[in-house]
Amino acid sequence: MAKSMDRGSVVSTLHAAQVAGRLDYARSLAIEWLATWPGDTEVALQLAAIELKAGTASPAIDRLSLLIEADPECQPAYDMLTEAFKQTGDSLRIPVYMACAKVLSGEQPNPSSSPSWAVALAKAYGALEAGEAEEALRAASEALAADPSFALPALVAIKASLASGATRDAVRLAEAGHDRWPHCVAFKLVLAEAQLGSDRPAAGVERMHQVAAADPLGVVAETVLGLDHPYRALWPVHMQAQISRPVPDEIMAVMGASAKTPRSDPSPLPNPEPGEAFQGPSSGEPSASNETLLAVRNEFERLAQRLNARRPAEDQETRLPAYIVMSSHTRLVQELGPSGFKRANEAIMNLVEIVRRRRGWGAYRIYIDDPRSLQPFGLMPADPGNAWQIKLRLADLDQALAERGEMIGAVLIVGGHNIVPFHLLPNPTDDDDDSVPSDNPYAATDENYFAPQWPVGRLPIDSDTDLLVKLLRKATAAHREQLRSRSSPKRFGVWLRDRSGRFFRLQPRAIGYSASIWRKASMAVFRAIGAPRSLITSPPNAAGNMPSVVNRPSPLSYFNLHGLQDSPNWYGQRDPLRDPSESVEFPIALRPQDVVNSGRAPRIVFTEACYGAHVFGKTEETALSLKFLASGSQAVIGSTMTSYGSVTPPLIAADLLGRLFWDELRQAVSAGEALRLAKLKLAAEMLERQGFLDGEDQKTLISFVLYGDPLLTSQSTRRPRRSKEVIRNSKRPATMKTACALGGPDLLTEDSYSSTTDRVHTIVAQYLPTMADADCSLRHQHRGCDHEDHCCPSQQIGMKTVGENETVVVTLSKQVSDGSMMHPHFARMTLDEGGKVIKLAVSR
Amino acid sequence: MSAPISRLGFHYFPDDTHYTEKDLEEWLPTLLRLSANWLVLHATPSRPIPKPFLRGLIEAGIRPVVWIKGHADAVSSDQLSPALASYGEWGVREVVVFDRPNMRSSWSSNEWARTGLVERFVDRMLPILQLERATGMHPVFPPLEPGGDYWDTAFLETALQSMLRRGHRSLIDDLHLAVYARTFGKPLEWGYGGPAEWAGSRPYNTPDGSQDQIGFRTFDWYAATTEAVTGRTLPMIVVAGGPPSTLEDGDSEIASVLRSVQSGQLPQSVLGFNFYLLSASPNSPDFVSAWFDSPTQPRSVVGSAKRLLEVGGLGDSTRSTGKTLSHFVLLPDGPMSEDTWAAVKTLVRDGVIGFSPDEALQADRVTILGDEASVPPSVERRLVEGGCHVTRVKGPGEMFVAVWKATYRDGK
Repeated sequence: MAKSMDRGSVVSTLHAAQVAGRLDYARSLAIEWLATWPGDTEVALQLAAIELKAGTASPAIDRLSLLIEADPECQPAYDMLTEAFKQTGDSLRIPVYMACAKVLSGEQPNPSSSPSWAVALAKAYGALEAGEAEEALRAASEALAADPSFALPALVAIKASLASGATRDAVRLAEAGHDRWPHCVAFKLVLAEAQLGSDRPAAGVERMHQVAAADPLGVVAETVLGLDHPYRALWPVHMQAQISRPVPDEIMAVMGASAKTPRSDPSPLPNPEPGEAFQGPSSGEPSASNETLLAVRNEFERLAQRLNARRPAEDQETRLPAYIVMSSHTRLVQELGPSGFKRANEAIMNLVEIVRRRRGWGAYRIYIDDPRSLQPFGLMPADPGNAWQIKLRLADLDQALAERGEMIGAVLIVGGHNIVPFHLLPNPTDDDDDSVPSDNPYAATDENYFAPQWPVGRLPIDSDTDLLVKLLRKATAAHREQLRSRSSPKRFGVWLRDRSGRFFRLQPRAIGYSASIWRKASMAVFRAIGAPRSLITSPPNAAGNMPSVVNRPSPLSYFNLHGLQDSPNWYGQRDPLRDPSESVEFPIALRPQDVVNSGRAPRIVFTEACYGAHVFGKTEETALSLKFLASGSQAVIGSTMTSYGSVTPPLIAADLLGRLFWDELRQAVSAGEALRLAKLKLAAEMLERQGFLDGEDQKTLISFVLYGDPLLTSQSTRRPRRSKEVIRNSKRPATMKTACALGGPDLLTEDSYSSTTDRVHTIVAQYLPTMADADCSLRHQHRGCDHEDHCCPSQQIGMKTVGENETVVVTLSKQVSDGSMMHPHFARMTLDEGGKVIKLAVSR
Repeated sequence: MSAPISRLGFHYFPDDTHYTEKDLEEWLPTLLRLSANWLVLHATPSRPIPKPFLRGLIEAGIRPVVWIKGHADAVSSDQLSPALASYGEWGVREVVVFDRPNMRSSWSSNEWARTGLVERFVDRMLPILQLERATGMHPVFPPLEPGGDYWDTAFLETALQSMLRRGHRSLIDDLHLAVYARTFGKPLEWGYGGPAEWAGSRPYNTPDGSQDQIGFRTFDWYAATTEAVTGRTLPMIVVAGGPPSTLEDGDSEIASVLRSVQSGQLPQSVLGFNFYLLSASPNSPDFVSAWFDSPTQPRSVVGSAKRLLEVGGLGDSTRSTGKTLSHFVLLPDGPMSEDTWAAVKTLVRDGVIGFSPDEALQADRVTILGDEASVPPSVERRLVEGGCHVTRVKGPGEMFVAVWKATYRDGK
């Protein structure tokens, strides 16, 4: 009996079927789905890949040929056609399709083996990206004159015409193209738009509806017309189809033992026969012998490898990840008003909808205080002002998702502290911060908030509806780009955005900006993303006097500057050994007005500055992190409070976190996942070095937050690469060994430590001459903590004091006056039993 | 009480569970007291409205419009055939089948996403329309959502063209359109004049300063569409009209709509105007729109409406103007010179002055003071359509003549 399946279920099942080695089922499922939704490019590509693997090139060629007619810029289809013709031995066609694939991936086709029009086409694309419309038009016309049997040259000619403002020419070309390739979605779209503006709008509406039928995912339309185009209502919202074959058990097993994926057979399960008891009742599928099964599985593993499918490790979760967009209904309405809420809610739903289209991902909108949004998971609402209740509700949600074969894969918090509160965790260091605002607890099911289980990001906007909606839309657009780059990397209209893409490639890939005094440590961090010599320092550079390279578009930016709680600026610091003595001690290195828009804001920002991510009561004019977001940055990683780093390598604290973050990001993981893995690796590294996490380690782990979509990747659309998916382990440490140096007496007041005191002053004079007159305290550092004279994370997570006092920690604090500003400075030195400095951390 | 307004009617309950003899006994007197001539009734293909209920209405002079909703891809002429035959035999003249086929929610997702949506709809609709005509009824095209997911005017135009192309001219000659005329919270004049007045309006795109059909005057736009495709304006029945709520400020809005209906401001092609909604169960989402909580519990809007109906003379708007003023001088917004004011004083000796076209509609004779830039031609057309004798006085020369005529008209 056939049963209705929605697209999310079909995509998940296809994914699971491939992992389970059930190519046969994947094929039949894809065919049934495409019978109802023939325009689903993603599923069609998957089916063609399966057919090619099965050695049936002929149907794959037919399918892919239709695909490139519908979407001439579908690069994977050209790649697969090349593969298909290799299978059929059609050596004449191979270089043609290969050339198209190269053109679409931004590479130059080989002039000796490619048709001449392909070379012209590459030129046209290059000119389009450079904004040279006339040159693009000339090259496209050259390609078109060769009259190839592809729609691609005509499409490029249309783009070039549009880019040069020749709309009528574009429409004429679209008409001619449509006559010859009537299934091309982009041609129809151009004609529909033209008709809608004419005196025949009814025909335009009908044609636009045809576009919706041919492109049900809306990928081409949204690329051409933008995400919020006015014809969205014509597109289907819930894609469903009747699927006749039941989902086999081995696929169900991959999707999760208790997955509630729709089964085709709604009747009660039959009682298992004795022989079936181990594997469960028959799915109704023909049973394969062990040998056949093994062969199919091997076959499929090869395919999975080709498709870049991930094989789960032993302790790795096999549940499918779900993207959770979390906020508070009540607080959103309070902060944004009813109309603002409506806009934000719509933007959230668009984001959720687009993430659902990612292969193997689910996505849900959760208002933690709205029973309607929690009801599908059987959860009770939580107090939106109680961060711990919200965290517990997330843990409950993860359990509820497990019943569907899903798990939390990433969390995006929508709203600032007034909407979804930060956790105000106890400060593990002896500085001026009362508490540490953190999102770490939202990343774990248990109390061990030092070890995040999934990436968490936040859009920290409380009352600025426009900015919040803009950020949500930007995140949605980024997902759209990713989908586009997977199914078809270059589509109609991309030229508009890619015009600057070429510009990007000519510019430095990353910008690094450091206080002069920390340049050595900064270079060790920046090396991961850029040439150390290109690191800029302050002084000599300062706001208003920055090299022009800073203002050029750059996807990645790294800042290691001073920050203050009450100042919008970040500051440099003079290195007494390098910079002239007449230099300003703390020059203003960066101001909000120095962060400019027009596409020049970096895509991802990592800042080590103290309070770099402090946003309480701030606006884009008073917080650089918000200014970056408002100017187009899509991820800003920084500390909510005082942060610490090293003066020179080896890297510690924020420096080490920064280096690990960039290293992970280079592996094509998402920003949220890169931060999560960096935190885990920092913890592992420090546990290995010290045997515990000390105050600055703990503070680094909890104070660094991500503002932006946790699934954002650093990849540009020009070079789509399959980013690694979120990996969760089924096992994790319940606690981490932490140390505390907060409680107990100040040892400097004890006579027995007079020699240590002298030693401390000598060391400070040597390492931190500017702190020679700083206030100083000296305390034992011990693993765990059960002192009652203070509150610290070790107590909060239940780590009792163990072992003897092994080390002491010297905390130096000083307020340095610089004009009207007071710069608080903190340094923490860890001394071993012999009084030797084993660690030195200074505040940023 | 005066004679009833022929176009006034109501949408009965939003469900099909109030058709007992007791319901008829309770509601019929109420309907008659409100001068209702039309009543829209919900039914399903499998559960027709009982004959006694329909006969009771018809014998009392109320014209029932039966409305069978359902998914556009789920109701067929075969299913409807027995019910339509019965309705025809019992004297029903209008049965509406389907609701808002231009909305995504009216279709299954894959049917909506297939090409040729309107053609497929016409495939389904044609046999039903033919069946209606064969049973002695008017074939009725179902109401579209103003704007809607598939732009309504485009849907209507494409459907009518399809019917013509298929050779159903005579069916179109008999065709009636069911129409929504909700206010959408906009002024009643919104979209007045249709596409001729608002040429910049395009499907899914209403430029700033322009207006569209998403308002009370939807029928103006449909009239233009049917005129353009078929060469004549098709008759229309508003099956659900008025403001969304009778609570809060609903009284004044309903009064305005009622005044429009009463004073003949609707095009002649609008045969009936059924207010949404007579009554509803308290747990119904439409309860806010009801005029009555129960037959014996009218909301305040009912009293206001009754008073208005009585004051307005209750003449049939198609044969009586129902005007309450003899002469109205319509002034443009903005400052006026002393000379102009002096002229106005002379002109209004026998009438009143004001700035509101709505108020002007209450007069037999209207003098517009100002050129087309200060009082748009659409206002003038509206007044003419509303049965007013309109004179426009533009510049000082015309002003002098008008004043002279006004002064010496009675031989003074």
